[in-house]
Amino acid sequence: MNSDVQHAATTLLRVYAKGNQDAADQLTPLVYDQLKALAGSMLVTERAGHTLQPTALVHEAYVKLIDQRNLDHNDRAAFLGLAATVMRRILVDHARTRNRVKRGGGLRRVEFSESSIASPGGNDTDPIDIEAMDTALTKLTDLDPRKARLIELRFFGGLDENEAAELIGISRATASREWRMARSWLARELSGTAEESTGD
Amino acid sequence: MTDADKFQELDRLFQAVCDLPADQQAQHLVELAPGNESLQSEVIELLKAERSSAGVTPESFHESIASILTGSIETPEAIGNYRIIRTLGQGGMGIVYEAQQQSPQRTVALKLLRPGLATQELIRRFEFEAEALGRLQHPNIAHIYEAGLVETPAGPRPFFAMEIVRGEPLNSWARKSGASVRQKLELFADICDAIQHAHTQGVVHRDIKPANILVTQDDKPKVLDFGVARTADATPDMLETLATEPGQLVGTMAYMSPEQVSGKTGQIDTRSDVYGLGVVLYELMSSKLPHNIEGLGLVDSADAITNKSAPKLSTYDTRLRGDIETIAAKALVKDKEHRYQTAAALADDVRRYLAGETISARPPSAVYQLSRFAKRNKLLVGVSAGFVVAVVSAVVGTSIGLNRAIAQTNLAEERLAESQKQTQIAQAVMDFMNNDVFAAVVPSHQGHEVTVHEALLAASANLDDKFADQPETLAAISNNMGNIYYALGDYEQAAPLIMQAVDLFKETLGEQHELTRLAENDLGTFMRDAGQYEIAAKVLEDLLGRNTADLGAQDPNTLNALLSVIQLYYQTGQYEKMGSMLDRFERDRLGVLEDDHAYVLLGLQNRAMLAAEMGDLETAEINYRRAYEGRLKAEGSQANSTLVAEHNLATILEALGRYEEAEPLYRNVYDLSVKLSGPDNPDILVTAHNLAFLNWSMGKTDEAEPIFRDTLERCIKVFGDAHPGTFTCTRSLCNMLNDLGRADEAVEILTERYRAAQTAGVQDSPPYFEMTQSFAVALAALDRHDEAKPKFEEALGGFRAMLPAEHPRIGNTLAALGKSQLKAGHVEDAEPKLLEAYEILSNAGELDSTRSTAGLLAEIYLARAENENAMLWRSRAAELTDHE
Repeated sequence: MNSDVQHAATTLLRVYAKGNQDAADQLTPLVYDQLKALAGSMLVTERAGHTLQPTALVHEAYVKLIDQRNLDHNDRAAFLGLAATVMRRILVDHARTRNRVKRGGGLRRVEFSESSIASPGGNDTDPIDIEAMDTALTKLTDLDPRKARLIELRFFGGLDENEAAELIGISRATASREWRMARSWLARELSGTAEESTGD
Repeated sequence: MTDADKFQELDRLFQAVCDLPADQQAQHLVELAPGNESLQSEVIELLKAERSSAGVTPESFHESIASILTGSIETPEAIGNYRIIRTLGQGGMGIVYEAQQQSPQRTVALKLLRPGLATQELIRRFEFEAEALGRLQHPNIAHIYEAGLVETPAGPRPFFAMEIVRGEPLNSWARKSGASVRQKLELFADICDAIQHAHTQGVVHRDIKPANILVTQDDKPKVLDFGVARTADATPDMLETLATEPGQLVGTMAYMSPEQVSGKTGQIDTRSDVYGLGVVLYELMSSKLPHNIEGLGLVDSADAITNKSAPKLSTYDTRLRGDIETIAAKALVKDKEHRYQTAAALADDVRRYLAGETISARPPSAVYQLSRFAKRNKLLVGVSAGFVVAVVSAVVGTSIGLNRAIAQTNLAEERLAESQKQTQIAQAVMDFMNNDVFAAVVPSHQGHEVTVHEALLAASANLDDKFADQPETLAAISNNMGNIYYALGDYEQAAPLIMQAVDLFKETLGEQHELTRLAENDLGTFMRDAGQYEIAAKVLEDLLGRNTADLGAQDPNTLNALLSVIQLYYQTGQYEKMGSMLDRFERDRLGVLEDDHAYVLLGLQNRAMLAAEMGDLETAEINYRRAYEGRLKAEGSQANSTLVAEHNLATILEALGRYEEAEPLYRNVYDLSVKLSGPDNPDILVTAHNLAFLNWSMGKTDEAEPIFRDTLERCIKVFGDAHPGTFTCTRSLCNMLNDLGRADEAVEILTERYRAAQTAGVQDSPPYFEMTQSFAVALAALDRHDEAKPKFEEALGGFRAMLPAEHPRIGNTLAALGKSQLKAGHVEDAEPKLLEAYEILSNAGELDSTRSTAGLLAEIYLARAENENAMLWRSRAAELTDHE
């Protein structure tokens, strides 16, 4: 990690943690670059059902980007919150472009055609569509920003209920209640049965 | 009503009814939102969605991400030429199948790595790595048959086809097999060999862990996944790889070196594997990881690995104390520069330990090396002189040599604690000693058993050439070799080396340098213990003066030199100077050295020795006991220095006549020492002598005699003919024989010993004069008074020069001389001797010898018919008898 970048990121984070939104705007591209670099090798994982660990990824970005000396708990929480948003953007971008992934060509010791992996079954279980998720979340932000943020932190930032509650500044009981409703709403959105009339 | 307001209402209703039984919810909704049916039905929908929303969780979302982005891969039927049989396992790096290769027909383990080889550069690197992996041919490495790329929807993925190994992962093998520590260590050394082989082929494993090491049915290890970690990385960063597999976070991260967890990828090299091996060893021995990172996040785990030190292995199992934990600790050093530099070096040390040899992982303390060496030597029939711990100067009955051994240990440790340059020098010395000297003394290497002495001679032959361009290393090696020759009693070989070390250090590092000062101290103590007291005094007094002037009276170097001087004064009988120097030491060390510092304990011992010499046995006991308790606390009951202190305490108890207290102490020291370092160790000779002496004092002469004779033989072998230790042992044996009425045997031994001492070039010392006196007494017992007289006079002259005028030893010599002269008929010569003897002995409270002296005087006066005088002396003798 370039120490200038680290220095800048650390300073920005401190200012942002004290409530300065301009700092967040400047910090975001730095976090984006870092997370994207990390995600580059993480997003393409081994197998179906393999758990991607946003927590690990975000923590890793934190370690790499931020100088750990003299930081307090609030700074870290602020970073995690910001990183959740950035993660969301990266994941959505990645999902949108994944079909355009170029195959590496050229030199090979052993050449196989694509069909040389003979798969016994289909692979279209596709439980949650990232883009649909993103769309639903954008909609939720207009309706209830706090609940949307809760979803974002937990789904994209990998924060647990406690961490998310603390970051938003609500009690755990409140977070738990809101999570229940928001998740139900999200499930309905994603299942495609939501009435067009929601906005009426 | 805005959408947001409506959503809040929706939320309110949802929260109000969501915990009610399902059949009551609709009813309640009607009551809560009368007339707003669309809102009511939307809440009902949400409740329904909640029941079916089990899949909408962060966890399943994360799974979806993976699935969506990579396209799920279920077990394929075939990959290229390989027909997939089943899945063997999956890990952070990829998935492993058992597969059937068509041509040649064989079953292989096919490892399909995760994608990430997007660029040409990475593909080239993979090909390069794959070729290196193919070259690995080692019985303990799973062979890689083929490597290649396979297309998948997510991009090209590397695969390896490798030897399929049927075996148990290392950890479960260790648990289930009931293997002994030795078996585990042997297996571990084989693992190191495998890693070393890879390193010489330019392949770093980078992911050594028990899961990657299988143990086959015949208990042979096979290391898997060489270099796979590196080829698999799009960006060569283990942490990224790691983070994809949270379940394995602990399992993988715990084996990573500090340079790996801190993301210093450029610093990962073969020594990172050495660290991984260290963790494997640690876990194999203790079933514990060096750093318990379970439940910690990445940051805290990395912090633990980078900054915290692992508990010593002996905290889990005391049997691992010593070499094994030292070896593991050296493999686990945070700074890779200070780890074992190769896997081979690690394997060597493990095997050395198994063979009972000196391991390299230790400050190059002569005492340590030699004590380990001595431990092995007892197993080697035919190894020449006992290769013995540090030092030679053991004045039997006291503890000089032992003390010097302790001082040597401290010196070596201090040396190590210095700058890195010095550490490198120390390492070079270690390597040289281990590779060029000790390694040669392995029976299997040669047709015959090479003695230590031969090995040293061979190693020192081309010493100057070998290190011609490294004068500092040459100096350090010369110093070390010199000290070993010195320990072997080969003063001729030792002297030039020890002197050369001083000269070279002066040239390269300058007179002011600490190493130069330490080398000078070595020279002085060598000369002292070799009996070259004048040279020793010049060197040590000069050094003490310069240290004091340059560094101050309180500098540890000065205090160390001061102790050397104190011991010189002790050995040369300069007790007054010794006393004032001890006062100075005790004053100057205050506020500099802790009470339990080795130097301070050494000071206590010297204080005790001086007190004992001055006849103040109570002070001696107090100081010896304090020294013993200090050692016991600081180093445990089996440490050499503790045994020494225990020995010394026994010595003084013996002198106080508390034989019953002394004997078990001697026994314990003797038994433990023989067990630890064989019977030819000078320290043991001292103890053996004293044990025999004690038995004699207790009247058990039958037990004492064989020990005395055996010890004398060993003293001659170990110390040589002109050594105080040999003198003392000779004296004790002969005095006992004389007591038993076997003066003829005593004279026979003494004649030979006395002549040998003259031939070897004797230096004045109290033990020499004691032996001389013993000779005189034995001759007198055989009525060979004319021969006895010059011996008595020689002894008397020596004692008078060294001891205070009123010392009982002088009185005893005078009495024995007077008695001899009386028996020879030289009454006039005898009278003044006996009168002086009586004066000294009665003042010293030596009842027995005072009485016998009075009796002799009575005889003289009776013979001269001076009846009054005769009656007077008779009554004096009787008085003393009555007092008993």
